[in-house]
Amino acid sequence: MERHSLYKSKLTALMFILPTLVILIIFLYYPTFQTFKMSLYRVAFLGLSKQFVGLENYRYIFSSPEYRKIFLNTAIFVVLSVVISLVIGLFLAVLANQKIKGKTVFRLLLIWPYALPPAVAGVIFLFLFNEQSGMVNYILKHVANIALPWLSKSYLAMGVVITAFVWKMVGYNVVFYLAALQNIPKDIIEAAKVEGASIFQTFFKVTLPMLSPITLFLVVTNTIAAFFESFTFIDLITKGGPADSTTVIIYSIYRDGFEYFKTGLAAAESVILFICVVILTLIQLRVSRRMVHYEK
Amino acid sequence: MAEAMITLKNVNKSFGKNKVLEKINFSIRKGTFTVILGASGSGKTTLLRLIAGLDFPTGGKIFINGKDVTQEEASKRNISMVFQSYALFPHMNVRENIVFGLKIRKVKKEEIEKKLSTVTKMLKIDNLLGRKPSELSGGQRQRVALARAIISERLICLMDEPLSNLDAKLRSSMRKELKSLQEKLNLTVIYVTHDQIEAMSMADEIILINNGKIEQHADPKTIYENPKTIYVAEFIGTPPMNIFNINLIKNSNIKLPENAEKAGVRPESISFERREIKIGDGEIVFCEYHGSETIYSVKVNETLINVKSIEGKHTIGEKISLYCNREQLLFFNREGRKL
Amino acid sequence: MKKILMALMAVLTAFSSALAQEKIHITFWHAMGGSRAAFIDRMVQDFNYTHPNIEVKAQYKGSYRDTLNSAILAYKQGNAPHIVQIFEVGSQLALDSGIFMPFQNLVKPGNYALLNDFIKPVANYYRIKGNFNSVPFNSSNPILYYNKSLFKKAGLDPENPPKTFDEIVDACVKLKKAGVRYCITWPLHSWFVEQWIAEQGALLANNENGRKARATNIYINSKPMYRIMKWWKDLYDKGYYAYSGKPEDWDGANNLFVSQQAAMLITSTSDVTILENAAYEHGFKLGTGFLPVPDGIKRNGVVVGGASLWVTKGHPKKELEAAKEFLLWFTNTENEVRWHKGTGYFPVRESAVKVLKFERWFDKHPAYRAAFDQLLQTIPNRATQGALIGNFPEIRTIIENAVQEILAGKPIKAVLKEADRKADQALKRYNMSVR
Repeated sequence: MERHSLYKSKLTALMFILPTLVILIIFLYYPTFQTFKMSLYRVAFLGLSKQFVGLENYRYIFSSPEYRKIFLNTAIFVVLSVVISLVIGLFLAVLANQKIKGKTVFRLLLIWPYALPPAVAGVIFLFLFNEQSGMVNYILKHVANIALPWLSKSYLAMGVVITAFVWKMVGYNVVFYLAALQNIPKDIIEAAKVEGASIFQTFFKVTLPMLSPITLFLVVTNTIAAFFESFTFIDLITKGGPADSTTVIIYSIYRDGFEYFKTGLAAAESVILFICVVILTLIQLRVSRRMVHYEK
Repeated sequence: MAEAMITLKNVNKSFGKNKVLEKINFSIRKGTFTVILGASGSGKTTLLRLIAGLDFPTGGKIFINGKDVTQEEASKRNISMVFQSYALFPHMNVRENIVFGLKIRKVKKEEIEKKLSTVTKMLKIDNLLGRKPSELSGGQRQRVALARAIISERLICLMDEPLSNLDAKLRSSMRKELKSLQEKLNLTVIYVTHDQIEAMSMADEIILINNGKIEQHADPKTIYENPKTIYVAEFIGTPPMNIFNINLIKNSNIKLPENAEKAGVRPESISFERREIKIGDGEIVFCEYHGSETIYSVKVNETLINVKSIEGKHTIGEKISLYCNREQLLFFNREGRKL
Repeated sequence: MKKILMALMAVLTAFSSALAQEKIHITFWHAMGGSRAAFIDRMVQDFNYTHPNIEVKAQYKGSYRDTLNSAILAYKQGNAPHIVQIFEVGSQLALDSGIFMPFQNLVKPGNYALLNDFIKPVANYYRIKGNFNSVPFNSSNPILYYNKSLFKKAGLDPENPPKTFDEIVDACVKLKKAGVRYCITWPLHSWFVEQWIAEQGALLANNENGRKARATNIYINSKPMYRIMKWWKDLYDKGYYAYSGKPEDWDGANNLFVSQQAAMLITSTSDVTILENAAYEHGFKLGTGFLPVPDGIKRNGVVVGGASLWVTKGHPKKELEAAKEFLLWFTNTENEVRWHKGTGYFPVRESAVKVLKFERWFDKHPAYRAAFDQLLQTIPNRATQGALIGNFPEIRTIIENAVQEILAGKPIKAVLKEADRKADQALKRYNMSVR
């Protein structure tokens, strides 16, 4: 069978994708390859000197209790922040979707945190949760006469960074959920009502399943953000403390790579992170085949 | 006479300053097929939504089965509904769509299966149960929506222009099917449409609304033959009733009712042969050949009058006289009300 | 008037660009932000003005760590800056990286007088195995700042700040009674721990603090360390010590002190100027005193903190000469005096100290005196010379984590033992990587 091509030759087609390809190779594939390679070396000073050590870096990471703690922290951080930011995002989107007065203002306010640079958001949270002069403790002191060690108690500190991240991501989720909610035909919701479904039944049996494509998208993007964008908050608010209890893998990569000059180890951590993200995304996509409904 | 199933008393509805429905009063008997007919924007869909409980009236009361349901949620009204868009749940297959309501009400599994098989066989969709709505044709979706409405065995079924998205041929066969379904299940159907043919062919009763008010509530025959207003007269029939100024026939020696301003006559009641009343002499300006009949537009003193005739021999430009019988002539006063 | 000015500017521009052709360009990367960066820029401008054949370009590169990272990366790419400011604990790391040349190699033996002018404790730190590898520049150490007004209120002698750990506790009892919210604060930073180790005459690493040979063992699980932690923890438990909850939060500690929630602050001498201004603004009198030391030990002195200036290798001789010329000018007596007055960092030259004394500077600005005397009274030995540890930044995190765990209530001994193990392991891996 003859195949028709838009372009005269393969060369022409290649010429068109060449610029993108070159950029991808230089800025994506080559560094990725280098990271993989670097993870097999013991590297000093960002690569000034190195020796091949095979899988030693990986062996070290998987056998060290410190890194095990970092992985656990990461898992806690990612799971909690993704779940919480999605649930709150959806909840607020549903509220914002109601016929209420001043909903434009309401929507704008919800979206605003996402527009804020993470560094600013981080500083805001640092001010809020400062143990002596923070707003939160100030209010707690006046209302309940207590002051909590927000940053020096490990689970509270984790709570604070999760809160900061959730606060930041919620706006993003609201925007997407709101758009998706407005795309659900009113008829379908009304049909469910007529069939006798309560508000909750309608929400869980009709609205939620119809939001499944956007939910999948948000789960993937939020997970990736939780892995990578948490860095700024942790660096600004807790510096991984107290005693490494908020050190997640991305922060550890930064510290090992750029503060401690353990570049090989940092490369190995990056590879592990990379594999984690790929596996998670694959799982999410697989699950989605069963759970997610796409409109035509 | 069966008891009233649905009653509206002085129902008003406005959206902000915009009055959509005013002083709506009617009763619908059990087991009847009632069509709410009106042009788009007349308020007919709003009226249906008020009955369904998807909107709430700004004034007045709604009774279903004798119970005041004015402020009751749709989910509590024990009605079923077929939407214009069908409103099938896109993430569920046909089976799940149909049994959705039964599952919500926790009907037993065996019972659901039994009903499902009856209904889907009746509607000939029993081979589609595993499909998603996106894999169905328009007609099939229509049937699924119907199945979902009737499986609940609720006595009241509301339909919002359910056939308007189908092609003409399918539409006419569905009309018959819907009507026979309603009779078979003894449903009380309220059916909203802007299509007078649907209304005439299916309705036991027609509620014709215009501009948020009921113009006439009667059976199709009365509506056709005895329209209460000029609006009704002109809404029903293809082509609609000819309405002309009374002056046109003033010199024919018949007694006109007092206050008569306008007169009306159905196109098929006009004859080219001498009858009791002569409407006037005119010239054929247009003919539309339909096979079994022909519609002539005849210009009589600047007034255009449609004539439906089985005679197809006349041609454009032909001078011709129009006649009708006295009882075929309707008279209307200045406000457009029939005398 | 405007036209004349414009014409003048045009002439000047033409003139300077003509000169520029023969100019030697020198780049200088530093980690001094804010007002200090402006200060450096002014000094560099003066240098360029007085040295028409050399054009120095100073660039702020972020934190000390960022600056070092940028320098290493730039070196890898073949465009290293000539001069890099590196923090004191980065010294061993800088040496190990192999991208720098010993500064002393640039100085002719006849000019060694210039090197011998650096004050003892400073020279002590930066002279590694007898050689100046870098030029000492900004030096600081921790002192006690205290709120004289609150001291008076609590019935304490405002001219006699506490000098030992116990005296701090005693002062805290009174200050608390007088209604001060927290008695004392300092950033949760390993630097203070290192200083208190030095004050006790103890070492932080083997091989004489890594000065005789490469360190292979970190001393975290030690008596002197226990003494520090015990005192710290007691202060914390009694509510006398507070910190923002975030490690290495210098601003957080300053804020607590400036807002008068804490009556005492231990922080770097380089904050003298800032804190003097802040105290004035907040209406209290600022006092300074020596870093308090554990009771029952002889005050041994502090380790020099701050940074020095390093020259990267591999540049043409002409440029290296120019870099040397700049560095010697930049740290000459006159500029040292300026730098000290402008920032609070020590003057690192004996001659600069003499000038300041001659000007009766310390009488007029007593707050600067404690910092200074403390440094001059430091006994030069291995302990006060400071440890040279290649992976010092990582060791610092390990120490800070240990402190946080101790404050959170874990048993001190167990925490120190574990931290010691981690530190040794980390050092072993580092040493393997630099072989």
